[in-house]
Amino acid sequence: MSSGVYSVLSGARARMQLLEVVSHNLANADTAGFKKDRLCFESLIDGARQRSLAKGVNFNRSAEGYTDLGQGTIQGTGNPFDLAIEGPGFFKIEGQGGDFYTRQGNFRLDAEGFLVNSGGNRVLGENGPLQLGAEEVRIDEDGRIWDGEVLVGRLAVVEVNDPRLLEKRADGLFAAAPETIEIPVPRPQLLQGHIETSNVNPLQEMTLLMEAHRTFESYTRVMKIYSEINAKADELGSLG
Amino acid sequence: MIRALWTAATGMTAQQLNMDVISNNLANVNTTGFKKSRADFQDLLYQTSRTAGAESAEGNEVPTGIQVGLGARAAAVQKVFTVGDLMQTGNDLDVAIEGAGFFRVELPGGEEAFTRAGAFKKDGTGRLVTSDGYPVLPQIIIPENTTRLAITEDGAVNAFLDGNNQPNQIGDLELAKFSNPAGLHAMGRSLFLETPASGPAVLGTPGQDGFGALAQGFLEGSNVSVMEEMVSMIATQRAYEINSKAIRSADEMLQMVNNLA
Repeated sequence: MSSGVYSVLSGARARMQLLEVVSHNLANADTAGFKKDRLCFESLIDGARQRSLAKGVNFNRSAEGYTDLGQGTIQGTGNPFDLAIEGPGFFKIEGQGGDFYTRQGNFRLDAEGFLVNSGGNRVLGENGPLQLGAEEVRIDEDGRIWDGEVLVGRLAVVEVNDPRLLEKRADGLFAAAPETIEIPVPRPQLLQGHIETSNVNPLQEMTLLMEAHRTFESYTRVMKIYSEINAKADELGSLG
Repeated sequence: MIRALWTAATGMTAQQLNMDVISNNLANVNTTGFKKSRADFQDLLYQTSRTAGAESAEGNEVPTGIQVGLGARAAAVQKVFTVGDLMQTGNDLDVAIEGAGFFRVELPGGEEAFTRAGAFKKDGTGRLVTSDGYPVLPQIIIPENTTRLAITEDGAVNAFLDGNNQPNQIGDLELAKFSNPAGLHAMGRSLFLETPASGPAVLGTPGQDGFGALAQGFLEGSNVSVMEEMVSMIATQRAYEINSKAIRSADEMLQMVNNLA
């Protein structure tokens, strides 16, 4: 059997993985603060590393995935505890075994008056969790929280030195690697009563979906041709 | 491959729920004191097929890993308690709350419920009741010979008896407030129940300590904006459609594999 069929197979497999990533993005087209995933491929054609027999056999595989942290559209909701960040930065969320970052700002108050995210984890201010009580709360662009004219706290809005090291978790959270360094955002652009929608662009995802679909189709066609060639070879063999 | 099928299916399920919520909002566009709901979604688990920071065969560090997500799920459907538009009705027993707060209502079982639908009525015994006949708390009994009823901004209920020009105060309306109104349990019929998530009801006088003032002769309409809901509906339908396309694509790719042999 020709080794070329394995090259095609590796390409087809990579497209399957691309489809999985695109499907996930599409499923989250309406998830607040969701950041789309991207997948890069790489080819393994490093001749020096291949033994002579395998020379010329090229493979393709998924090299790396990354999260596109681009800004999502900001939508007004009128809910006072919906917060959106325009520009860079993350909210900090208290979690079990460490803090998490998120752009998903659909917060609410829990029974004890703490500001929590939709998963019920507390949102962190500069001095720990924020307890706000039931009064009218105003949050300004810098993240300062006002109860009337009294400053009651400030939301922690931070950036990280290397966003590639963030690991995605369920519920819109990002977990940091141990070597991550936090950098507070000096002037975050916060919008109260607004929410950042997902940054998935359906048109772009559909294009990727079509691309994955069509290239996969080509690969299966090539595999079929290999299959036919092998059948011909079998026929030849039976003649002899 | 099967992963993509299921992932896209979770997206369709989420959009279906979104559609249910929007339909309910639209159905209640004219319901007094109705508060719209909003579905919030979250991304599901991620499978890590390559960890960031791992060492590759050549001894280099892989800068970023590969994480494949498994779709979306509904995290919460929460009520949005913005104030609806006030409409003048001229009816003495219609009361709207201008700002935060709920009226207290007694259910037949003795439980307390909360509502912002202030379209009150008078029942056979003269009690002030909701449209469903549940008495308002604290109970207010309107004397039979009342010719006119005046409810002040701070909740005092005054009755003018037999054409008398001097009002008689027959009771006070109180309002209840919650630290987290989004955590209230909507029981239908414009009524809400207290839950551990909402926190206990804090009672107070209308117009004071952050409670809204009362407006007699007005009703609070629903806070649903038809235009906003229509836009959400279009977006939801498109998102549903696009997820179904991902399923079809996954299915066709599987079909191609099946046709290989």
